[in-house]
Amino acid sequence: MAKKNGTIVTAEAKKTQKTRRRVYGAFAVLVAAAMLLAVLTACGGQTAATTTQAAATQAAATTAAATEAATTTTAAPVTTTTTAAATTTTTEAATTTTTEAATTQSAATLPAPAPAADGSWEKIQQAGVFVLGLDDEFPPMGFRDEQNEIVGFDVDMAKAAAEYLGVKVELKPVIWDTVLMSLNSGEIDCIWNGFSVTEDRKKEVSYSKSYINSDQIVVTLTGSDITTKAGLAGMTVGTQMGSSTLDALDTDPATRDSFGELREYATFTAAMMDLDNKRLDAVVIDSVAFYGDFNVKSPEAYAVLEENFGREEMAIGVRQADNTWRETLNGALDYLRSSGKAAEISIKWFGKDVVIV
Amino acid sequence: METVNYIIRISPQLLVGVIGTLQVYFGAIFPALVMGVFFAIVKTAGPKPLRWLLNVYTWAWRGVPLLLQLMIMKYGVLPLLGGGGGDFPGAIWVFALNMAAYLTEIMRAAIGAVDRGQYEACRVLGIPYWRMMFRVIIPQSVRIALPPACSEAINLLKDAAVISVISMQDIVRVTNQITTRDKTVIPYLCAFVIYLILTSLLVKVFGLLEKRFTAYDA
Amino acid sequence: MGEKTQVGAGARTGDGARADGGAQAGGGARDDTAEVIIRLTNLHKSFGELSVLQGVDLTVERGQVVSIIGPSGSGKSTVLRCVNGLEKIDRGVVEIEGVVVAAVGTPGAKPAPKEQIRAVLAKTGMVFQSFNLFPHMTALQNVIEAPMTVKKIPKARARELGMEKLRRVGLDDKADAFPSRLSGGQKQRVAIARALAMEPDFMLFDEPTSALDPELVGEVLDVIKSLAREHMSMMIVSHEMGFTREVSDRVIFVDNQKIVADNPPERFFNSPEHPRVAAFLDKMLN
Repeated sequence: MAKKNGTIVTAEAKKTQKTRRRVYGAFAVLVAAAMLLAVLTACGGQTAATTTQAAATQAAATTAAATEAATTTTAAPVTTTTTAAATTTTTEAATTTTTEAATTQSAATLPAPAPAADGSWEKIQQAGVFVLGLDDEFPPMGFRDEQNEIVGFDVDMAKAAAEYLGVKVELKPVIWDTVLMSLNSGEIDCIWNGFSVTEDRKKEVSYSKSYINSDQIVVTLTGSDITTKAGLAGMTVGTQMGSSTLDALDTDPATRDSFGELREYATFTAAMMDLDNKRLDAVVIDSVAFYGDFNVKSPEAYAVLEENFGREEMAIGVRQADNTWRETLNGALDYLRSSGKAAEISIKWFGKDVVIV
Repeated sequence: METVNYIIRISPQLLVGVIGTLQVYFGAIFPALVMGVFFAIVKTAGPKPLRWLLNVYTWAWRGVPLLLQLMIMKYGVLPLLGGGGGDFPGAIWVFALNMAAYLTEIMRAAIGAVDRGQYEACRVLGIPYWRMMFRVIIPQSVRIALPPACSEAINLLKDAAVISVISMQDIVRVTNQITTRDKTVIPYLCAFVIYLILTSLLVKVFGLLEKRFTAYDA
Repeated sequence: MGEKTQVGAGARTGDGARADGGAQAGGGARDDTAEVIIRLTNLHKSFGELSVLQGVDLTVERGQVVSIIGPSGSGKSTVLRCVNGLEKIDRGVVEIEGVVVAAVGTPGAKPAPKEQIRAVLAKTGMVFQSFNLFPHMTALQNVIEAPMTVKKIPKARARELGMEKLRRVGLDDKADAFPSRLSGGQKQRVAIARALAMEPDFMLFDEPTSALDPELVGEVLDVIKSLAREHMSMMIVSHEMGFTREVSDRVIFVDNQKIVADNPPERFFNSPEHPRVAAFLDKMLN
């Protein structure tokens, strides 16, 4: 019988069978690999973000002991609570048991009784790291550079503080909308990302000292006719949705209602870009965001009104129960001021020293 | 050209996003395929309680938005597991289970679409049940399931973008980060092109698959 | 019982000893013992409300070719499908080679143990109207799938066996063709080869040519005739009158849920007893 038909068909048949076998085989291998990967990642634990160098852990341990001793002997109502460990990065002597940088006279500023020894700072000390929750899309406080590293003003401050405290800082991008939940669930230990102090938030978190002011300013393009808040009447104004700026606008409902239109954007950047395109007449924005970011990139492009929608403070948010941790952070902030680091970092990002600690 | 230089500068970052997206994609799709076929078989031929359970599973996982599933994973499930393996593996599992739910239904329908005569032929030839399923029925149902399954597979690539909302770095999030930092829309154009390239590749691969699997057609 | 007179299958060429083309009286005068290979007793089958068979009795002996004809919907195919269990009977007894494979509502009759049933069903082959070939396998693969799977015949040996069967039906040159590349007649012949590969003791044909174009019918009927010449026991449901006349030992007419005629072809076609048969034949042949 003529085999011609047969051979052509054979090739096709073989190809299909071979493909099928290859597909099934490759498939099985990839499934195995995927499952292996899943298992390994599960065992490996969370992928750590940026960390800083750890100081002498020994010193940390001894200071921890010292702190314990100090806090347990709260006989007198006013005790010099040794909050921050006195470890400096260069471990000179291990005999830094004395709370050298007992800078925080927290006891003096706080009413008695002294903050409860809740162990929050101790826990972090033992772990050697604290988790900082931030939105990695918020220049200049925390954002990603071209190497995809998280950088920013708050990041620099936090890293410096961590170094001082002798622990590492782990930067954890979180969903900003649910950041409070992340804090209270223990996913992060503090919120340090241009976190404004508001009465509402005080119900759910406790704040460190405020370290920077932020005004809710009105920005227009250079040469705009708008020079006062009154001039915003009938204008198209933009801002970021869900920001404390919106809350600030609530304090001046008359002006806000006089706007022609108030447009909310996902980010300040989006709002500013519309301002650039003249689709907006003005943007109400955190001065921190403006001066640290937009103004730096295009210093001549914008004008700022003298009048604004109020001043806000920004601070570090911690869980309400974490008293010693909060005090530790306050001590760190004080250190950053006294050591000149705060000024240095501020000038790097804002061009001048705007830290209010 | 300045734009080109800029694009080169942000490429490492874009790459991070691409890797994130692809990690989610491949980490999810293979388990999803296995589960889809397996669950479909159980739904067709398994014991009643298992079938009922699987019905609940596909109903729940196809009936709730992906984003919500991710949030529940992140805030409900992971804390229960004491952090589990972290956000990324958790997200991959959500995608895998979500996709598997769809694939299960597709596959089950495909198995049902195989001609009854095939079952009868195996019966009279004495071919035992599981042999029949794996040698005769499943291969034919794969052929039937291929077009809708490929469709789902391509959609998964775009659905993966949802992790940007939960602050995980995929193409979309990285693009947003770059744009917010650099105040230019060029990153969006890059992302657009990247996605088109990826989906075109997928379409091509699945097209080849379909062709090979239907080579025996008239 | 029924030991190894393997009728029909095997490498014998098709020209057997059936000189007279099959018009023999039922039951006897042949070289093998007249042994009952299929026995249906008081078969009842309904599909929901619709009653299709009401008390059908039928025996088939080894080496016999029994054809079942009748109007559409009369239950011809149902009889066939009850034999090998594709349909579950509502009442009655089905015996194959002495083994009770199904018994319902009949005191004193009980189905045999499962292994026995499976063993005896493995010796029955069936060819369907719509071929039911596996579309994703080549002709040869279709043929050898069951022998490899069920009888655990190793691949090389199975391929030989498969090629042999394909040669038997005249399609060895299409061994590597997919069913979609074959004509209807070729597909059906592959289906026959597939059934033959299991070396059955008897075969059931459910309207084997009804789905074929007229010019392709002949090649399939030729194969079936050659099987008959080799004394393969068969039950055939068909509309092909000429073929039925030529190949059958007995022709059975099903009407009104019962068997109303069971005669050798001469009697059946030339002098039908039953008026319904006469009417049917009149319609069919004119």
